[in-house]
Amino acid sequence: MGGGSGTRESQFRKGALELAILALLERGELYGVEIVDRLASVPGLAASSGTVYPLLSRLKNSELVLTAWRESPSGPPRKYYRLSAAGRDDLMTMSSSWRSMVKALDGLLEEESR
Amino acid sequence: MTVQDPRTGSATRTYVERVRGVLGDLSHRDVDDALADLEANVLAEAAARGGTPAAEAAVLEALGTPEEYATALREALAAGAGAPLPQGRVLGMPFEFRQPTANSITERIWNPADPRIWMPRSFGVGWTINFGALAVKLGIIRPDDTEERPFEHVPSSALRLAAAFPLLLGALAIAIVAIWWRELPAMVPVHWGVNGAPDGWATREVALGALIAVAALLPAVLFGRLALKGAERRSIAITSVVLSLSSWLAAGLCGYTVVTALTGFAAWWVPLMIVLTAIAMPFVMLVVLSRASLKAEWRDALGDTAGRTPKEGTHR
Repeated sequence: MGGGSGTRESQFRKGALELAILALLERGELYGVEIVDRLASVPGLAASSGTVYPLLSRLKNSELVLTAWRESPSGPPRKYYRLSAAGRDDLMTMSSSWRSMVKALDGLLEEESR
Repeated sequence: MTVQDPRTGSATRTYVERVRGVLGDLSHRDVDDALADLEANVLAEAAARGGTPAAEAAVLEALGTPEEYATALREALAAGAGAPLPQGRVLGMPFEFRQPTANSITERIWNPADPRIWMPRSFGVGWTINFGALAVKLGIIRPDDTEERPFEHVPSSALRLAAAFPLLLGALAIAIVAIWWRELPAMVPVHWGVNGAPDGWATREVALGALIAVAALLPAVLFGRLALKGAERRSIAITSVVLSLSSWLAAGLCGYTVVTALTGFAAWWVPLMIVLTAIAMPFVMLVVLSRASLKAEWRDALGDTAGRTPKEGTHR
């Protein structure tokens, strides 16, 4: 598992995963495993924690998400992730540009395959 | 309420330390932060999957090897450095009070890929000049004429020269004051009006002491700290540039203060020239250092065989 970094597909996938993480966090804060598990429950978006955690670090570093420690009912304290105001803005612009790009590409690919 | 298995945790800590070991060249602040989160996430995940050492091992297994994780993290953190955002804004002005790092300073004063000439400051309130964007506007470099991490390959000779510059300026300031100290009056000018005539005075100890502290002491202390840390090339390069500016300003004002105090000579254009040259200096240094670094990278990439130096500035 892992590896394969730097290929065009993995770059593309990471961009999509980032958007997916922002979208998950829009509905409320989540901690690490929850994010990995929610992504895994969507076919096509499943990614190993070795891919997801670095992306979380990146989102945090660019201040799109914020973190907070919370006690857990069992086990060690958890680090929860939530959207910052900038993250919310970013999600809005990214999702609208994603939609328009998908529409445009779909049209183009359809034409090509005909 | 389940109690955490005391046998878990040590494998995670070992893993995290191995990742840290591979990332020694990155900003410590970024790495510490990312690895604290990693540790928390792994331990929470292990607890959610049963909390046994076997669960912990399985979680770590899913992360890939420490080297693979380090590579993924390096890539992720580099991609995040695209567009610097200020910590916040006050009255419409950006502010930033987190400790500046070589990365945070570089991405604001030398970021050719970012077209903004006015960037949020890397420390304090307001803006700073992105000399990289300026150089692109002036046609001196192209926006892609830069390494992934600027100044990573600056040759040692250029680096020594850049670091020596502020130190020499500091020595010059000390020399000027030492030579003329006995002849200086007790009070020396510290402020000049618009016509160039002095309109504020302070004791020579305070006025010249402060200028020498900035010109000489500051570079000595900062370079000393970098040397102790075994800092990477780009940290030394960017520190040299910033210190050259402050040492030039302080040494220039030191000289002007001494001349004014001894001869009564005062002209409005002298401080102006000192400030203008002080702004031009980082620009020149950044362009020269980034070119030297880029050339070294090309040479490395060509494997020293051709020794060819690609022509620059002829892309029009």
